[in-house]
Amino acid sequence: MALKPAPKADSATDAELLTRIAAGDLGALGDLYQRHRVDLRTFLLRATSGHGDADDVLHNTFLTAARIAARFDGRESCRPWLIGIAARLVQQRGQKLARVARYLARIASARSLARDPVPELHARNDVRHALAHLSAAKRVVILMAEVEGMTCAEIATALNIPIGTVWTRLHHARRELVAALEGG
Amino acid sequence: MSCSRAIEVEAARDGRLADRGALDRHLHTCADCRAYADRLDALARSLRSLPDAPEDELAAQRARNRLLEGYDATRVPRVHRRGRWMAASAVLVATVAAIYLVTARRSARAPMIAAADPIVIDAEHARWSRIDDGTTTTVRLDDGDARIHVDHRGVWRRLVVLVPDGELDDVGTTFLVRVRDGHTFEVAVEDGRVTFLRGHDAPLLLTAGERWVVHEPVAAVAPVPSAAPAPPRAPSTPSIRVHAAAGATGAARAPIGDELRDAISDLDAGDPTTASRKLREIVERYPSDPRAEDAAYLLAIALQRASDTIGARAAARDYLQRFPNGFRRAAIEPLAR
Repeated sequence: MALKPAPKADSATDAELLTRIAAGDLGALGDLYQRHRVDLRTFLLRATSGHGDADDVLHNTFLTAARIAARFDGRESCRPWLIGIAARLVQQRGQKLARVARYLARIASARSLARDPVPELHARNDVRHALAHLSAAKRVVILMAEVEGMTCAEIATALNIPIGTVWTRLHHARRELVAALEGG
Repeated sequence: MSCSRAIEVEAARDGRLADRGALDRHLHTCADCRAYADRLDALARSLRSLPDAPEDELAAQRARNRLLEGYDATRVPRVHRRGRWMAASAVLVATVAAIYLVTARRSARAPMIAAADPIVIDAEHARWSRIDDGTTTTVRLDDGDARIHVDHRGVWRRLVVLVPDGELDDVGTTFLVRVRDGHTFEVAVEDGRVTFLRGHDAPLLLTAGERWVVHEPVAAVAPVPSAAPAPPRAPSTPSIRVHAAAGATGAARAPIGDELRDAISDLDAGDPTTASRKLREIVERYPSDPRAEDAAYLLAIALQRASDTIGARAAARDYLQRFPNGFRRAAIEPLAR
């Protein structure tokens, strides 16, 4: 029996895979996931509080990407685009957690827990600890710039915020991190 | 920082400094700014060197399956929302087609075009069967050779191949399975990836170009737990090899906890009662651990082997309830009935 070979994931560009996903090709979504899962998960493990959160956001990132695949601009690699989706989801998650924390704080008449409380639980070393103390918005921006190597313009586009906001968040993130690491 | 130009260090880093040369000249003379630049470099290095947490292949594959099933499920309601329009369109098309067929002079016998089956099985001389259930297709290969091709480009279907001593979970797309005398002796992946769960062994990931073969008489291969009680036997370690093509990644083995390994040893040594006690402890103590699913599955098997049919059924139902999309769902369903 002659079997028709399926197109190899390695031979298709990200743009081609996303075009196929937009046309309803689930196999292409699997290939895209396979290609970018490790990088995205690494980013999310730094940007969130731990494995559970990272895996949840990873799942939602690819679901979102599949839903809006037709909007991809066709550049060679969709990694910055996926990082942008993931970063936005991390921020939304941080805002939700902050809302819940504020609500709980009001009920308990305790001090405000408006800062994302979860990352602190998983801090393993100084850098991770310092990173966990940043707000989600600053955390994702500093990771996108310093770890993912994205330019400020790319970050602004990915997060749909003005480039000035990116600069400001980067400045504050660096200042807070340096202060935390130097005991300030 | 006392230097008023320290802000330029950051600006240069962010690509918003017009005259980088001026800053470089300043850095030669300003120790304060140089120290700040070094601090920012060190910070970036620290962030980049945060340790990664590698994910085992089995967990990754499960996550991938959850993603595809999840996305496939989200597409259905969209179809329903447009259902009325789709139905109206279908009626219109059907009407036009009927008129055409009735009035056409030629005796055109319209060919029936069925939706293409995404799973193609070439197993002419093999003993096998196939069950399609929801989004999963289960192929049971009892004996012979089966070459299987899965096209995931259409509707997503999970494919599980049950062999007498284990199961294979396809991640696409073309592979060969050979079974003789109740034992798998070869799995060869031509394209895509396949996970092979063989007996109590850790999952084995085979990628394109890799071939798994048993290099000893198949009679010595440790059988997998089956629904029927099995006689006690001595554990055996078959010689297996994975042949990889150039450039192919190696086989990934998931870690397995000492406690689970201990319970499996008891099960292999023919002591299902002790094994079931240990497995129950693992299931209760580590409900959110990735190993809990394997332990829950083995618990049902151990109870069945201990002739505790009621306990085995309860354990099987508990497994299905806790892991509705579990990896061993197809294998454990008969026990739950």
